[in-house]
Amino acid sequence: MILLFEIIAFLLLLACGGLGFWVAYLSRNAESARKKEEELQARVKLLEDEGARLRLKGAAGPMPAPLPPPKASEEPFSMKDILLHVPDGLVVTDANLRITFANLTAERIIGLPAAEADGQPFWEVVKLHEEDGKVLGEANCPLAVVLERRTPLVRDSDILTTRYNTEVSLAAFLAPIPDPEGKSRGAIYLFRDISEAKQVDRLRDEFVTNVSHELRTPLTVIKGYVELLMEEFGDTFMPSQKDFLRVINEESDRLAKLIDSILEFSQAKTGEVGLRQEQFNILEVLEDSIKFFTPPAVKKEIQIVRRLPPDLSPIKGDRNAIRFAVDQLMDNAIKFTPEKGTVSVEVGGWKLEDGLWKVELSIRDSGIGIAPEKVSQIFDRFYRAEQKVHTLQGTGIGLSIVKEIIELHGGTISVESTPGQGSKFTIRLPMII
Amino acid sequence: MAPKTILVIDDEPSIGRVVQFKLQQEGFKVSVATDGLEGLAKVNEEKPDLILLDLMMPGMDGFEVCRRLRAAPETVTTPVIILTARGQEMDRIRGVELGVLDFFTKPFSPQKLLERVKEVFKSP
Repeated sequence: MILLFEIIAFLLLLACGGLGFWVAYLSRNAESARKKEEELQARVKLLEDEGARLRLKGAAGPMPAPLPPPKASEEPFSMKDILLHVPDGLVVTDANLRITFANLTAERIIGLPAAEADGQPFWEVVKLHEEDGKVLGEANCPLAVVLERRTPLVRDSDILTTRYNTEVSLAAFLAPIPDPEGKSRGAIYLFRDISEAKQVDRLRDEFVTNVSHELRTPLTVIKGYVELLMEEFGDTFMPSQKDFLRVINEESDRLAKLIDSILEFSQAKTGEVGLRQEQFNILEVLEDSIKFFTPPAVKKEIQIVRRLPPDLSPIKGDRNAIRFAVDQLMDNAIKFTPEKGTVSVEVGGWKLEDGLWKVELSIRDSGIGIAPEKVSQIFDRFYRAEQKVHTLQGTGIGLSIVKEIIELHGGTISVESTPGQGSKFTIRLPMII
Repeated sequence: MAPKTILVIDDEPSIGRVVQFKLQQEGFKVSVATDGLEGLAKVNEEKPDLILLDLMMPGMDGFEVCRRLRAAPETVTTPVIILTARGQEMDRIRGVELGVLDFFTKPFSPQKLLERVKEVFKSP
């Protein structure tokens, strides 16, 4: 009995203790929740202040004391935390181009602690020069242009000299920070180290140049000797011998032309030359191309049929590149059309759903056609529809270049083909109205 | 009058031979060097009236050869024609800065080169 009482009392005690514990726990918890709420509000205020500071930081004044480090991992991040850790370099200046903020990535790339950059002129910390060596200093700082014109700017070929005296290629986005009246109160310089990509570009350029050199040198020798043979001994040759030499010579010319296009195209792609942006009439380009291909067509008694409008709005792009594309298609059409066949060239306007116009250009041959299973592959590099037909010329690189040129112009190229009847290549390009 | 002497500097001996053959037919005295250093040595030795110079050569490239020619008082005015496999604009600009007379982009026609060479010696 006593034992039972004791047990009950003990249990009661335990329960009371437990209750006390829970009461204490709950009240403590409420207190900590309140504290947390207060802390949170303080943080929000700090965040707002920080945000306001970042927005409004003007010409003068020291940086306010840095924020205390966050106490727990679930705390929200401050704007500064975020900006500090953005994985692109970020430098912010006031209207006099004095640095007010630099993030960790900027420190790392430039090699300078942000504290030392603070208040320094932008051009003395971010030491830039152009690829040709022109220094971008106080007189021609690109950020000054942004401040003055109040428009953003993209610069992707400047070179930074770091504090370690190394050079780094930068891609940079520059933007003004406007005040409510639209005046520039400061500027942002957001940048990325693109040295590696530039290096790859350079290596590729060098590679293409070297390959082109390697190919042209033997060509020079071949053409040189053919010319010597023709000129020095031509009188003693039989007609067939002369004819063979003429073929060698023509084929060497073709190869030389192809090397030129590859080189030119490769440079256009790497942006060294860049596709030109000029207005031109595609009808003129077509007529030039047709004129160029009339002699070989006449030789095979091929009729070139034109279905062209009397006039057409200009298109914008690189006239030479488009001419190269049209030439490739014409060359193929005439090559694959048997004697006495027909090649037709057609141009029309084509309205898109969004009201814009495209020009549609098609070149149709009456040749051997392309097997359906091979149609999808013909724009691939180094592919030729009929590998076995040795009388057909072509290196297989032409159509893939054509496709890239057309796509760089925002257009498309497609092909319809019926084996035995012929193929129709269609290019669609955007048109300026 | 003694025949005009021409030096061809090109790392590809076959090109040197084509050019040599073509120009010798016309009575020029032509010698060939296959790299930059050999070329400079022959320039000193033979004092050519005209130099036909390749740009891309192993070791010393054509630009360096040209720079050295221009740095030496004896060859500062020797006419130079570039034979190059690279048609790049930058090369032309550098070439013009070094005072080269003309550019022939490979593959070039030996006949056209001959005509140009004759023109060089025709002008006063």
